[in-house]
Amino acid sequence: MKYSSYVGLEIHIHLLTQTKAFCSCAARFGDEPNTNVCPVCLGYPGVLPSLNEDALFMGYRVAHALGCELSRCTIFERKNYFYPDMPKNYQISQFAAPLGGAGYFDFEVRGGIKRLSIRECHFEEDAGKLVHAGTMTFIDYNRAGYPLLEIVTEPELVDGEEAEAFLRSFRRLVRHLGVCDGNMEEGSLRCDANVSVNEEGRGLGVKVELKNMNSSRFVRMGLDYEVKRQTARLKDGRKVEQETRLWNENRDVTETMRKKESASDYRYFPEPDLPPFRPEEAFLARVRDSAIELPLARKRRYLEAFALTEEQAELLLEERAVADYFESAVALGADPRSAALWIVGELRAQLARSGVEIASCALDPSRFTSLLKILAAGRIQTTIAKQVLRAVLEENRDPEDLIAERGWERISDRTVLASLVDEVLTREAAVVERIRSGDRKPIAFLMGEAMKASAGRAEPGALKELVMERLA
Amino acid sequence: MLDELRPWSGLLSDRKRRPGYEAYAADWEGRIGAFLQFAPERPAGADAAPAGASLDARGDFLGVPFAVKDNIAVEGFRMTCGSRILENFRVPYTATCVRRLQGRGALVVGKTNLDEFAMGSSCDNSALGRSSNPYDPVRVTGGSSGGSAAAVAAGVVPFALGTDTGGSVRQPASFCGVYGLKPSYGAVSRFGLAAYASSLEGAGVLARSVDIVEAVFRSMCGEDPLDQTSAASGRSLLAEDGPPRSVGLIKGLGGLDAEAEAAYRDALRALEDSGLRLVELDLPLLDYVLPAYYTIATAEASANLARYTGIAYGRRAAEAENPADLVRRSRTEGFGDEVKLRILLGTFVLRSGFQDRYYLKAQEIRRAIRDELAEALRRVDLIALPVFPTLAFPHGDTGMDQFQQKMADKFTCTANVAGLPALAVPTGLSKGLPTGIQLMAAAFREDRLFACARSLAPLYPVPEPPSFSQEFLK
Amino acid sequence: MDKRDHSCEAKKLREARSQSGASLEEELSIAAELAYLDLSELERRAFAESVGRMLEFFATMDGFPAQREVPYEGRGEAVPRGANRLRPDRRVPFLGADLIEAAAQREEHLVSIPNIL
Repeated sequence: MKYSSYVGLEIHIHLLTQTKAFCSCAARFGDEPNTNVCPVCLGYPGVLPSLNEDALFMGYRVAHALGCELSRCTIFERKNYFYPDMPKNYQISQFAAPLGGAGYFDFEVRGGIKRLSIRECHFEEDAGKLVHAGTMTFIDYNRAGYPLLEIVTEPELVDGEEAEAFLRSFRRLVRHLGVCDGNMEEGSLRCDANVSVNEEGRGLGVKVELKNMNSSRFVRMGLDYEVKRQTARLKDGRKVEQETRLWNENRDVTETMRKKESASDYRYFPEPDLPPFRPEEAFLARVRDSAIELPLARKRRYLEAFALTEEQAELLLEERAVADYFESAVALGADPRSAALWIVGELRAQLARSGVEIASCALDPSRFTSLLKILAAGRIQTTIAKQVLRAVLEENRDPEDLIAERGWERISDRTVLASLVDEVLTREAAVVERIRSGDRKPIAFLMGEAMKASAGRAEPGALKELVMERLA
Repeated sequence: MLDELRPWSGLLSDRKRRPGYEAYAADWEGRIGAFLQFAPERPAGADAAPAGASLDARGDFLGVPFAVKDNIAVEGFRMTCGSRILENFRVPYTATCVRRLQGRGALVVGKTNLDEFAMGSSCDNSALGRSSNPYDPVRVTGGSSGGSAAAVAAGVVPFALGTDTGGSVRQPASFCGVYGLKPSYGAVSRFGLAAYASSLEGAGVLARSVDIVEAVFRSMCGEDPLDQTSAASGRSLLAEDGPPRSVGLIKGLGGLDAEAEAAYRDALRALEDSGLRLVELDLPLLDYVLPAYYTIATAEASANLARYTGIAYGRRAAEAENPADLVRRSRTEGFGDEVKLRILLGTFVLRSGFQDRYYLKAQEIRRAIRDELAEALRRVDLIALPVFPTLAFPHGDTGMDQFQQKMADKFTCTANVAGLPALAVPTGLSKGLPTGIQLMAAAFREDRLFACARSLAPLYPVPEPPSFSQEFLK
Repeated sequence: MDKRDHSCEAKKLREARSQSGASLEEELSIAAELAYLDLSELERRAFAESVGRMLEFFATMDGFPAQREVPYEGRGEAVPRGANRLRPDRRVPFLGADLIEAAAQREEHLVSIPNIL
């Protein structure tokens, strides 16, 4: 008996706006509790929601990037249920006419590309946060009213590995779009899943909702566990119960939610306080104009056009700003492979140390390209290049100027090198004697001394030749 | 500033006149109980408005006191909505419509009584006070803006604000012999009005003169960024293309008692005498307006009142084992029966399995009625209707029960369902009780309502209840 | 209740109840649960009467002829079609009173309630 598994995801992302979805309070993580609140997001009597322009625009951008049909008349609805973190005890969400309809997303998994169909994207507001301590529960409303986009996929994934791969790619997409920082630990990207298992060819099985997976790793583990659990039950001849289960990250299992929530009737109806949004042509044009090259396509391009390695391409594409920097450098004439190497290597390390962003660092693409060209021309050593890189970052100077000033040019002139070597050999006459009498070991030491004497600028090949010549 | 308002200007800060005013108000309060909060010594004015709300240079209402129904937010006062659940709730902001009046110098002198959460047509559903008709305290003021109507009728304030969801400004206005305007939906911002039925309601004005009603309306109306259902600028709304020439009468209207019927006929004659051509209108869809109205109103109410739990504000039950228990107890203890009834009904009509039959059907009817009325108002300039099937009825068992009161909303709720402006015009007295007629116009054509009311005014001087006096203004 | 019609109405409701599947009182209990209202035995019966009466009244809408398909967007929309209303994404902090002070119970600037078990 063969079994098929069907996994669909419901992802919520916090949109990176200044203010909340329906009021002008700051949408900012980490502030003192209940300091970003106002009568509107607290659901006071008499208040009304007022829709955030940027939040809606970001929602449409995501929908567009996912190839979704963009709604020409999107309707807000009230989803009615009671919970202590919900000030109004209804959530302003969408239901019958979401801003984004059917779409798709391609992502890499198991060495290939899989396409996952997107069912819809819709806009909604977040609830506050509950903190439990002893006999009390405490409510922080800072997050109440945050703008969220919910993306619902079709149940076309099969296991945890696919879900994790999808999530990683999706997270990269929204970061590239600049609409979400994708931080699962902080809750700015949340993922719930629907899992069902059934005999092959019989279609979807009984659906179990899976929640509380707070990282992509837990998503993978939770889904793998759940698929196994359901398969085992079916093999045993038992039925799977339709329920909501939580991932327990301490015990690595999924568990029935303790409180049995009767299937809630949300009684959706159109939000009377917000007119339907009918994007004008100008708005949709702005959405299209703000489209970016999808990271996957960009990666393909890096591998094909620039012959970068998988790893290099992945690293460059982690941050859009880094990928943009890379392409700016290439456009200015930098060798792609060299540029990639230096960006993901030395430059990344230096920036991480100083905490500066690549887009605003002193080594802009043009200086970077300049440096790479100098290196490629053999005018400096690799070790020196690293010094130059650091110096430009710290001192905000041009590479050429620095190299000239500090005399960091490579020394290839044999006359100059010869005199350096002679100086060293004279100084270390005793060592020279030892070598000439048969001990080859100190040669490396002499080479090192000679290089030191040149302050690292000696061209290694020429230096070695001269030293060997003199020793013979 | 209007001549009629001038005597009121500065009354509250006038040490010589205020005692006389306070005595007059207290005397009336003993009989009619219009106010839940009354603070002539400490009114809420422009200085109470947030920074940035500067005093309008014209100061149309400088120093003029007015009353506000207690489901509209005024910072400095509590906002009780006539309910135990908000009995001690101090509201930290002021409704936009009130701020606009405060910005022109007006001062909120008190908050008036209402049916709990604006649900009712008598004002007797208030959990916090009892209001009575200034013409006969054995009778109700009407509702839900009963306190505002009574205060204006008694001459305690020159104007008051109410809210009108299905007739709640017009019906009490008519019961108390004053003008009551329900503006076009969206003409006045709803920000600050404790919501009952969001797509049906709005702030309204009560006063004893058309000029005051119009002046207040013009000051309040206009788009508000805090209310995305509010419509664009006031000035352009009030088109002026000559006085109204025709008024439609709806065929087959019935159910009025003898006095109301006689008063209605009389008013129709007066309309004709004032030069209007009467046109009969056949509007069969209006048979469905009342069930559609209550379906939509209760549905929206069930969601709008879900926020009252006692968690972040309002009255919290003393003991509870868990949050669900806490919420249930707070609501059960805090809400009156009529409010519970409407919440239950609203929950019902939205439930999956019932929604198609009730809620969605009601919306279909609504759309059709809106179209039908828009069409009719292209053929006539105004539509005349009764306000209510009876005059002010008595408190208690000999009056109208809750069901009967709901059935009687049929004349007024039409304007709410269609989003149209309507004005209750006082038409004198019948056996000592005020009578009135209702005029309805096309969306954003309040100007036609005012024009017609002005032409009726000479025929119907606004009545005064016994003991009415404005001596304290001198 | 209207005394004149009371006995007649009650009889009609009982008849209706015996015909339908779930009784009105059962449906009402569900509605009360969804609305977070506790109803005593007495109240359940009383509300069943008044709710039942109103629902019968609502049923008169069945007589309304089915219209041509009303697009979903039209339902519930009271505001006439016009320009879209959007709020610019600019912070405006609320500068009034400390709103948390209005909560009946609070601790260290958090609103407190009994623990969710």
